[in-house]
Amino acid sequence: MMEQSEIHPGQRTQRILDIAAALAVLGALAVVIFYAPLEATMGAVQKIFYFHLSAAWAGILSFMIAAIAGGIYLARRQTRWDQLSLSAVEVGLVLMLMAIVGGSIWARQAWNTWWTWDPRLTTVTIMELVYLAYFLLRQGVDDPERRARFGAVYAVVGFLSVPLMYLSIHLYRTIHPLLLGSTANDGMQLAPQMTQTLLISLAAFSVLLAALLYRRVRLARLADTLDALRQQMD
Amino acid sequence: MNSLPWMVGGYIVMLGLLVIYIITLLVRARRLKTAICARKKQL
Repeated sequence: MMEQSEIHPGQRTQRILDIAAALAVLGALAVVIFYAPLEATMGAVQKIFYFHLSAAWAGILSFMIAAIAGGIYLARRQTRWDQLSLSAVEVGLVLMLMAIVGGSIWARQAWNTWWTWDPRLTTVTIMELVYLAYFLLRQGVDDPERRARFGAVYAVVGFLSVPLMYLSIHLYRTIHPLLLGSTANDGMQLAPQMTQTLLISLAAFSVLLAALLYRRVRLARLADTLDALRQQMD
Repeated sequence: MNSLPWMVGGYIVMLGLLVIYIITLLVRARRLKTAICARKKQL
């Protein structure tokens, strides 16, 4: 029989992270609803902004972790870095999808359309497709070592789509609001309570990212354990 | 125009996506654990 600790490693840490993430996200939601002031022009729908930006922030952070872990894998060839890189790509995709869907609902009210091929929306779609293709690449390679190596290279190169997405609103004319690097004339100016709410949401999503990544890495370890057992039986 | 329903809808969809993803992680983990236990018994 397998030891419980062998099949459930890190369960205690996972539970702590899960509780922290749930409390952080629910707390941030309460702050958004009850503390953040209503925006004068858009009204309540503008409050989507807090989780929209936070999900995008956590998604970008996750892709960055995937690229760094991919780089370390290429240098050291240790499976755990491949597991982290793979997990970070998947979690990043989900978080970016949250940001895109939330942004689309906000856009329906603010721009009177669900979607428009604005530079930011176009580049974020390209980025999402680039990272979706990561899984196609991995599925196409049978040898685990080659799969990990190709995945690592792809995670590093694919990260180029992130600065492209980020800079798109600075380089091209866009209807997407600017937040960072904006001036009084061309960007979103936040009231102090809005800035505080945004910072709380960003912190909550950072904790959520840690919890999701930890859970996904444990899943990757289980998958590798099963692969090793299959090879042993064959 | 009252945009409150759009805000509520936006948060339901975003958090709904998150919940669906967490459920898939839990289901995949359970399946893998079951498969690992079954293989271990066979060995």
